[in-house]
Amino acid sequence: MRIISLAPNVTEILFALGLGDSIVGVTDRCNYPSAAARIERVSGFGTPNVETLLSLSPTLVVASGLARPELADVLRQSGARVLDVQPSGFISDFPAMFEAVRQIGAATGRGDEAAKLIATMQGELNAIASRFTHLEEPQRPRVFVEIEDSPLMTSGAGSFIDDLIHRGGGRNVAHEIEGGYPRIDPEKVVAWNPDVIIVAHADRPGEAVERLTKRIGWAEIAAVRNRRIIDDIDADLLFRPGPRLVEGVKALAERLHPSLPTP
Amino acid sequence: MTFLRHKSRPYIFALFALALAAACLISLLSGAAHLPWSEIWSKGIFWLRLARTSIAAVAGAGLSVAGVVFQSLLRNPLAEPYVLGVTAGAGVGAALAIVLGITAAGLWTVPGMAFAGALATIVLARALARTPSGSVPVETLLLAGVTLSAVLNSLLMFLVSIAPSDKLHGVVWWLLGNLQITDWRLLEIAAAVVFAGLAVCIVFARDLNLMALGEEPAAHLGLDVERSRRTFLLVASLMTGATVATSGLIGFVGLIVPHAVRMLVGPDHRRLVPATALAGATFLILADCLARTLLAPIEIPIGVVTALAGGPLFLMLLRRRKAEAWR
Amino acid sequence: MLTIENLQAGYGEKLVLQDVTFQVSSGELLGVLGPNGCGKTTLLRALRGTLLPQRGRVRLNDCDIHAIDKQSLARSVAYLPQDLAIELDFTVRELALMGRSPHLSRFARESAVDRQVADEAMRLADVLHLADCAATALSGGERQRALIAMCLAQQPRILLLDEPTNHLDLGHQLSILDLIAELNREKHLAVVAVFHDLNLAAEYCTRLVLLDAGRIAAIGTPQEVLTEETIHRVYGVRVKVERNALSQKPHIVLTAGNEGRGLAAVVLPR
Repeated sequence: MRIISLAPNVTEILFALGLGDSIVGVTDRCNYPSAAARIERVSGFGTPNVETLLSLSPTLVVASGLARPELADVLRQSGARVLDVQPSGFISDFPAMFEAVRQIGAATGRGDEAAKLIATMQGELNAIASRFTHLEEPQRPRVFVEIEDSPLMTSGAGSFIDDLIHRGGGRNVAHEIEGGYPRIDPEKVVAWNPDVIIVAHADRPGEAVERLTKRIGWAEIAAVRNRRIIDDIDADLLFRPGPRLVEGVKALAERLHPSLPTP
Repeated sequence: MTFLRHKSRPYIFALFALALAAACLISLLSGAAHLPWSEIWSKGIFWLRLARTSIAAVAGAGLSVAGVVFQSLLRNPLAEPYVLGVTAGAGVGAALAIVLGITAAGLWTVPGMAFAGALATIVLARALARTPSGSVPVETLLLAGVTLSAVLNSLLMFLVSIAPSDKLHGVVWWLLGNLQITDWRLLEIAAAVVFAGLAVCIVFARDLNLMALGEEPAAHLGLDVERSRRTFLLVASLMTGATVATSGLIGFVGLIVPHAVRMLVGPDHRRLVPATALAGATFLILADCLARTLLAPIEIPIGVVTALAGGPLFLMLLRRRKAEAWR
Repeated sequence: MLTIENLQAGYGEKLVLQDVTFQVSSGELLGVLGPNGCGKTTLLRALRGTLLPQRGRVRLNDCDIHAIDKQSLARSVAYLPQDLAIELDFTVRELALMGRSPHLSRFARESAVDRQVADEAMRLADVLHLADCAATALSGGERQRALIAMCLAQQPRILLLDEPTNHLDLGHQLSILDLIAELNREKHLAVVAVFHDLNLAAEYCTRLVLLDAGRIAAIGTPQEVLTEETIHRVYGVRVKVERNALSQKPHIVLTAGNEGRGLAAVVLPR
């Protein structure tokens, strides 16, 4: 089997299913596991080049939201199977991620491995969730996720990050906004007054605290005042809907509720 | 339409200043956060709104006055930084700084690169449009500007396409205009440049009148045309560059505001320049209010709001001018 | 007043004027004539100092025109270019006040005196009643008068006009030229005007310069310059020069259909 992965989370899922040796092409953002770095890069920004894809004579191409559906037709005509695990463009929550794993397993004949992987992840999620069963809603810290600054971008209801925050024992302040990744007015963040801010785009760990403190009008936000700004969890654990997302939940849970006993 | 034309200058300025004050008040009172005023104040949201209102005012005034200057120098009411490619040139300069991560001059890097891009564009457009006898026909210059604008926009897209994905978001949004401001110092730089440019334009407003007659007639009236042209191109490029560097590409403000103000107060630059500065600030503050509140807390790009207002007006202007040509 | 010596001027490689020498004295109305492209506008631009001569020089009261500071030169010489388009809707008064620019220091505003001079200029040019009208809304003749008012507000001693009656109908042509002749007579304003119409030039000018391919073909009174031989030599056409019975000035008579060659000269090509 010759597989091309067109998304970093797909690459991680493929490796987790033990298919690392069958992958012949990945994107330039596929940085995990380290073995992925040795595979040929087929795409960077934008749509991958069809000729590059065909020249690798793949038997299976796995994408997570294809920018151009007609690309799939061209690949199919050349004899390759095309699987788009998330045609809508983004994965909305953990069940959707499990579904992606299941589909990839089915397409590669690794159904059992996929089921096992899903069960493991589900088990870990349940373990984390069990810590929060007695948690009252007000005890969940209110979390703001800053995906990008200038202009400010967060993730609202219907994004896996929203789900991740909840499973990590927090409440996403932007949950009131429907639809993926909205750009928002900074004063809204001040009004939400979150207890914790997760910064997804920090240049280096620890750098965001100073930056957010200096920001006009932000000094009085509880998270800034109390220095509860998280910028040191590997962004790929939190913002890449693959097998390691559970680790992200775990890391977040520990940061949001340091006093709760670890199971 | 020209009902303010024969009113005294203090009267006109008082009127425009009043409009600006009202716009500031509306802007300070509106936003994504619906909280009682006491909380707006205690939570620091007031300062956020003040900063945002200020940058909108500075950008609006800068772009509008730059528009007035270009219109006088090129003797064409359709000339403005965006149409002439000056904005795109500033954009390429700033995008280069962002994408390549140049920080040579610290906080001044992006404004500096934007200014260099703006100035290079207008100089290049003039060089391209110059005839062998040394004159620069306005139509050719506009055409050169529009073409350059297209080329520079493609160059911008190229820079976007090679931008590392962590820089992509900022660059794309910045292409659509962005008035979110996080740093007082950037606001101070932009304000200093725009106020300095505005001061030059007010002090030399009479020269702008003469330049509007054309370079030769201006020279016949004793103006040092070479020096005036250089000064004003520099000033307009500086103001455009400072605006683009802080707020991205915002189109059409430099076109519609001067045009509307000229209809109200007439073309005398001694009235036009200060009135346009006030009106430009008012316009962009109000446009930003719409951008912030229409889909709040989601923001609409400010460039989209101004283009939706400015595009149709630009076309109307074109049609009117065509009709006049047949009169 | 204006002395032109051995003037040679052009644009880059292209030589337009050669060996041009003449004088303009105060109080005279000098007409510049010649076929298309002979250098009439170039001569006017050289006289104004807009164009730097390649050789020779132009002097204003014994001072090289390029050595005079720009503002004081504008106080002495006013220039009305051909077909000056006003793009912005300045009013006639605003235009007239712009004529005061050479008299104002950098930061000064127009004084009561300046307003008075501008009003007087508009009155002379017969546009005072249009003072608050936008120049873009005026007819061709009115606009030309408004621009003359701007020139007059400069209070110049020399007025340079490039085809001041271009595109105007007969009535407006005569009224503009009457105005110029009156200013010339009563204000002792020296006028150098480019003409296209030989008869109008003969009628109004005290002296004429006829240019041919950048050189002076004839200079002198209308009677001296407008002869049948000279016109044939310069324009390549045969005309009849008669005398205007009312003004005693030369009058050129044309006939249609034979390109002015005269019937005897018509030779059909084989």
